[in-house]
Amino acid sequence: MSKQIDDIFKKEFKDYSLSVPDSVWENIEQSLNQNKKQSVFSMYKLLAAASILIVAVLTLFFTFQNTNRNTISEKIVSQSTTPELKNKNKSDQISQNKIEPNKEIENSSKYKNNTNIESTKEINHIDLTEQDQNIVENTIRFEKIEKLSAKEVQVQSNFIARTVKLSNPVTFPKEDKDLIADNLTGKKTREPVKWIIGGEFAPTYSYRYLSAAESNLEKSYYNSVEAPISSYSGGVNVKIVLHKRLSVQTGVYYSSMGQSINHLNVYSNNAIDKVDPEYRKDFENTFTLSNSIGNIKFNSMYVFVDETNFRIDINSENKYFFDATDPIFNELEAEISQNIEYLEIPLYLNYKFIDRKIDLNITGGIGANMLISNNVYLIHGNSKENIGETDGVNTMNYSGTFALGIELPILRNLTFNLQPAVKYYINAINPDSDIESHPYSFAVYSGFNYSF
Amino acid sequence: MDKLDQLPEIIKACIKGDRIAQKKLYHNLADKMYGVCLRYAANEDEAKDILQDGFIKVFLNLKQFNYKGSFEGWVRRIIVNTALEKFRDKNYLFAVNMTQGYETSDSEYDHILSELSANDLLLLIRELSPQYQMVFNLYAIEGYSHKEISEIMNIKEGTSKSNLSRAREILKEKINKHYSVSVNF
Repeated sequence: MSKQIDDIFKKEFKDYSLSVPDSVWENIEQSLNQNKKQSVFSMYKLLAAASILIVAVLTLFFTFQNTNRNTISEKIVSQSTTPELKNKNKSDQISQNKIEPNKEIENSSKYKNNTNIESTKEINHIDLTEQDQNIVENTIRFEKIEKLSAKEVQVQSNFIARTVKLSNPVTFPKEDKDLIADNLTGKKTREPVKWIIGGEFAPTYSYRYLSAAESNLEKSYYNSVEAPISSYSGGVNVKIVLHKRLSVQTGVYYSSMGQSINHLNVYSNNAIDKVDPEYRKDFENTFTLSNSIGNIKFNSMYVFVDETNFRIDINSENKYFFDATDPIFNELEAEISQNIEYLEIPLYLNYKFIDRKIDLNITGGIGANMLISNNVYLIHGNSKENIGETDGVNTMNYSGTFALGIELPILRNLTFNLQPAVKYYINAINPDSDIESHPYSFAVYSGFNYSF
Repeated sequence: MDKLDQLPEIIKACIKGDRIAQKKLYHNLADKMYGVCLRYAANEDEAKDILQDGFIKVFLNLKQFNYKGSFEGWVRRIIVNTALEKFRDKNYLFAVNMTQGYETSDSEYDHILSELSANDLLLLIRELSPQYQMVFNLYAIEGYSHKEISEIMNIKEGTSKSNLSRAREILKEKINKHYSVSVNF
């Protein structure tokens, strides 16, 4: 009878349905809209962070570039307000004409004896009025130059000759201006802005540093059963060369971090067989297994138990039976790998401490790491099976990176680079946990750079 | 629902936030899931709340659906879990109703039960105390074992068994009381 009541109810309710009032969907829609707004807001935050980064890079870049340009343009401005040679009478001083010492015009020219041409930073061209020309002709003559002290005045003859012969108005050719300006800045030629793009890849050794407010048993326990994992990392980067040796770098990097958990026995979830086959699929495990990062939430049909049951949450909602004498894998045959994948936007400074045919450089900086994937795998033999995810992992983390690199030329603009790097997560990736986990990794990047 | 063409595409569109796809998914399952909610709820308003909260969870957790099992089963499980949460929130502590009904033979019930519609049964279930209602639903209709129910509801396995037994007895009594007059034995 009892069973029959059950069966009747089950039969009647198997496909039972009733029309739902429209208000329910409206409420759901409203709630989803709110949720969407929140995610849009976090997208804005992300965009804002990226914008700040870009602005910071560009500001650095333009600040540096402007400094160079200002130095040059100031001088050009001073040239354009060209010193005019004025002469009211022979004894007047020609004081405005300023000639800056440079390599072309060695030492400054000072004209004394009725004529005083004081040195200034530079000259590119001299606009001379007819009257001025006369002054020049009257005052600057070869015989007078001969009278000048050799120590005070050394003007190259071609300059003097050109100046003297100039018709009205006189302008120096552009190449002369450039030459003078370049000489003043100590450059042989004005270098264009240099951009470098590159791509690199690295095998990675990844583990974590645990810190706890108080030393506790869990921390040492986790250290005894957890182990590093091997993974990989890679990405593309853009460098802007700020200076011959110094560049700033950003880009997008993918990195996989994590840890493995060992000493686990794996059992089959026998409870699956105990429910009605129709509902069997609904009974996947929702066990949690605690570890140093956070609880692992399983979606598999396995049960994981360590020797002490220390990490099984016995209060989990759905706990199933297993045959303790019959593990599928014993503790030596399988392990769990917690993989946490990030997309990093770095802001690094790169300095070449050896700048020869083969360059050696150091790189350091910070990166914003966005969580893109969080998976837990059961690894047994050559098989790797996705069995769930780790709860409570931060979606945005910040890391510090330090690297040493060697750059070998291949073609004119192409170099091969090899760069061992260490990365450390500044913030704990599991903010809600008592034990803070800071992942770190050692990687040896290899890749190519192309400069424009 | 699982027969719905292009289910994976619809799910993917829902994950991306496509409102039309979400509405389509909802309307394909809503009536049936409302039927589930009604069994767990004390009244229609509570059933609507469970349905609403359950579907919001479905949409927010769609990424976790792994396409291995039935999608309807997955949604149903979320709805049942939502009903369980509501039950826990209310934290009902009802005294077991020990009133005894008069005995009716199994053959009489066979006949009566076969005459009852789902709506009649729904009313009967909802007249049970919340805990009996929950245990009866989970065991008789969803197929959970007593061990599982004890863990889900945080009660002893024996309590689950006795609750089920009492729920059945009460249902018998009510069937007898409500329908014995209209049914010829």
